[in-house]
Order: sequence, then structure tokens, then C-alpha cells
Amino acid sequence: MRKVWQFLSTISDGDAVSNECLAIASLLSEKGVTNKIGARYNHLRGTNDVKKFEKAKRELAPEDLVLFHLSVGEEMNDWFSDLPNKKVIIYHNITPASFFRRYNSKLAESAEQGRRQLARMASCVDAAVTVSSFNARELEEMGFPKPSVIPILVPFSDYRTAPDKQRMAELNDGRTNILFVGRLAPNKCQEDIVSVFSEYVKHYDPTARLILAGSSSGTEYYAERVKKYVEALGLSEQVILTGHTSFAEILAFYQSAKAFVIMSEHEGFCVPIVEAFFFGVPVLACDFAAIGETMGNAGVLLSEKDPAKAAAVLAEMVRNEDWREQEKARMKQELGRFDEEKVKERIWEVLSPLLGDKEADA
Amino acid sequence: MAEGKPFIKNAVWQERLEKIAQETKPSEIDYKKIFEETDNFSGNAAAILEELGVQTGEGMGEYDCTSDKSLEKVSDYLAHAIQIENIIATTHNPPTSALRRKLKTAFLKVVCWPSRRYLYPQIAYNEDMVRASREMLILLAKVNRSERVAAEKAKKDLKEVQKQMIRLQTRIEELEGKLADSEKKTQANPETEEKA
Repeated sequence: MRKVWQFLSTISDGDAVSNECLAIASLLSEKGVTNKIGARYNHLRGTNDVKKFEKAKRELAPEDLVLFHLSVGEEMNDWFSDLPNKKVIIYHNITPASFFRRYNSKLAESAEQGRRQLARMASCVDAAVTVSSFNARELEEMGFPKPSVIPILVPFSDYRTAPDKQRMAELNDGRTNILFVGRLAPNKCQEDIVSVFSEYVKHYDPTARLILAGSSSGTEYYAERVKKYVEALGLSEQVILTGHTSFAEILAFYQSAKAFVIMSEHEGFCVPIVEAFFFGVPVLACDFAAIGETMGNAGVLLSEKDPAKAAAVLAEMVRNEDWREQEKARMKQELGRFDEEKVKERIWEVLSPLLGDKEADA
Repeated sequence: MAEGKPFIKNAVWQERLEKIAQETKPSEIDYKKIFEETDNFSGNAAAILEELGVQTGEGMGEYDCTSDKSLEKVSDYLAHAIQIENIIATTHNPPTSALRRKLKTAFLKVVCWPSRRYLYPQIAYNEDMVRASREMLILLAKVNRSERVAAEKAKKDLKEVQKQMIRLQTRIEELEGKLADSEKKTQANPETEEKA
């Protein structure tokens, strides 16, 4: 019987790549396929079965199928390319190095290395899976034959858990909460969200609050610049930079938000868009990378960054209840694309032929 | 962004939102410029240390933060600066030993923080470092305040001493004057003196 190994650089609670990996593990178990996970860094809370990379390497048998999650540049990627096993790459996108050069040379190097390593994999994988057509185009340009586009598995059941009560009480004070969730990173352009918010506060809602939820690990200098920018615009009292925050707090942010604003210039998928849809929070975004694709027919997509215009549209999105009701219906409709069962079925369609008859029939 | 694309794409109220956007005047604020001004990293180790109150030796000029060799050099200078300076001058005589201890700890953290944050951007620093730097500035202000109060008191005391000295001097002069008068009288009338 062919066993399945999933490898990834870091596994931790809450991040999109780890969630996908754990969801695939559960899918394989449901299908009766023996499967294991190997990671260089294991930051999962509590006890778990994730093997250290070195140990996993030793346990890996030549007949096992290897699923490799790629999102960073690192030595493991070359090891994967050289494996004689049947193998599938699951590409989550690598943020271009240019975004990081000013802020973190290590991250920039890692991004460059990752793209070089990815190009090398084109000729040696049995299948390529990626989470958006935007990513698939990148893979095709590198020579990967027909990548399968399957949306990321979003753990909706987790979103039904209780939010942080204290945060909820703080945020439900009658002020308008505008939200963005995502690491403070140059590609996510939080400064542009602040610019839109500045115009919004000035012309439409002086007491509004902007929540920028996300850690700044590795991009500390960028985070410092955003903080200074907020101060320079006199918005320190109205902009909350949360830093690393708990999942219960994130739930509280979504549940108390009136609108979700994204100004990212590079996203391979952007899970927070789906999260905002789940919580019925209208999304205002700029049409870069995979954002338009993930939004589908919901949300408002801008073709350029203009803080004044974006703020005017945001104001309409916040106060027009008729529009909000119609938009909620759209968001609900779009969520259907990310239905967990449907996504799992599509992943199974890709994996089953590689597992052999026995597993495919399971 | 492709040219000719509408500004807005929304399945529900495309025209209405497009109209709102079109009717909106451009912002008077140059947001791009304000954000650019936040990028004040110079890589100048001397300036950072000077800002912190550490005297630096010669050669602490501009450094290219991306060069490993420069990083080593800066690191050496930082170590040297700490070694020769020990700690910021104002921390030498703080009012209390507890404050001195706090200052020393904060100083060490603060020296580490900019070296990591500015000179080693690839190494993650944490919020503790930022807090330490703020704490440091507050403590320095405290020390400066204490020193100012102490200096004002000393100045006042000095004035008082000076006044007392003047008073004493005047008294001495008075007494010297009286003594001189008395001597003169004795010389002028030695019998009286003898009788007395």
C-alpha cells in the first residue's frame, strides 16, 4: 500500500499552508490512506504526530507518495526535487523578493531561492496543484504541465467558535470598525489602507477605527514605518496595530467589522477575503495578483489606488444598508466555491490516480 | 493595472459606485510623500549611538547595512563603544542604585535594539526591545530631571554659602576694623592700656 507523506517548512496553528496540510491529512485518513507529515519547524500547540524533517526523511520509503507544500525558499525544496518518489507539488505562492529587499535581506534571499527551486521542480513532479489561476499562470510560465487549480481548504468550522469577549465589548462601542487581517508586510501595503482610512475619517466618519491585525515578525522595520505613518497622519488614537493576536481576537475583529479593506499588491490567494465573506463583512480591494479571482462576483474591486475615491466608495459600503444586504447575498453565494467537501473531492481527484487502485477505490 | 479598466468592479451597484468615485475630488494630502518620509533609516551607526548619548570613536561613519563586512565592523565598533564608554554618562551618578541598575539594563537592551533593528534588519527584534528603548528615554529624562533639580539646589546652596561668606567676610572686616581701632587707641594712650 502506498503511504502519503506531506512535507512543509513550518507547521503552525492558524496559517493557511498549515491548515491546508492538516485538512489534506484528515481527507487522506477519511479515505483510509496511511499518511504522515514532516516539517522542519513544528510550532503546533499540544501533542501532534508531525515528524521532524530529518526523522521523516529516514522513514520515507521509495514507494511513498510525497506531497510538498511550497511557500518559501529553503534547502528542503532541493531535497524534494531530487527524490525518486512519485511526487506532487502544492504551490502556495512565493512573494516576490522585490517587496522585501528594503526590509529584510534574508526574506528577499529566501524568496529568490524559492523561485529558483520552484523552476527546477517543473520537470520532476508528477502533478502540480495550486490555489489560484494566478499561481497556475506562474507555474505554467516555469514549465509545469497543466497545474490543477483547487482553492485552499478554509477551516470554516473554526470560525464558528466563540470570539474573545473582552475584545468584542471593546469594539462594539458604536464606532465604525474597518478591518484588515494579515501580516504587516510590504506586499500587503498596509500604508495604503491607512491612507484610505485617513480620507474616510476626514470626510465621512471622524470617530471610525481601523484595525490592522497581524504580526510583523521578519518585517519589523516596515511595521515601524507604518506606525510612524499613522502617527504622522494624527491617527494614533484611531488605528490599532494589534501585532500577533489570538484566533479568538481575530474572530472578534471580524464580528465587529463594518468593512474589510485590502490594498495588497501581491497575494497568491488571500484567505482573509474568504473569512470576511464568511462573516458577512463587505470587502473593498484593489485588483492585484489573485485578489480579483478570490473575490469572484462579491466585494468591490478598484482598478487603481486613489485614497479619496476609495474612501468615498467605502463610506457608501458602510452606510448603505440596501447595498449591504445585496452584498451579503453575493458573499454567501461566493462561499460556495470554497465548500470544504467540494474542495476535498477535487484534491482527491488529483491524488487518487497517484495512489494506486487500492487507495483510489477506498 | 490595465488601462481603460473601469475604476470599480462591483456586481451589485457598479454604476452607482462608479459615479460616487467620479464625483470625489482628489485628496489634498500627499500620502506617498508622508509615507516616504517615514523611511529615515540611514545605516549611520554613529548617529544612532549619538542619539542614545554614547560617544563614539573615529571611523563611525556611514555603513552599508547590506554588507556583511560592514556589519562586522559596526558590531566591533558597537562593542568598543560600549567597552570604552561603559554606559551613558548620565547613568554614572543616578540618584538611586535601583535607577542605576534599571538604566544599565535598559541601556544594554537599547544598544542591542538599534544594532539589530537598523544594522541587522534580517534579525528579528521583538517588542521588548522597542519597549526598552522607550523605557530608556523615560529613565534618561528622569535622570536629567533629577540632575537638574540637584544642580538647582546646589546653585541655591552655593548662593547661600556665598551670602554667608560675604556676611562672614563683612563681619571679619568689621572685627578687623575694631581690632585696628583698638590697637590704634592702645598706641595712642599706653597708660590707659596698662591701667586697664
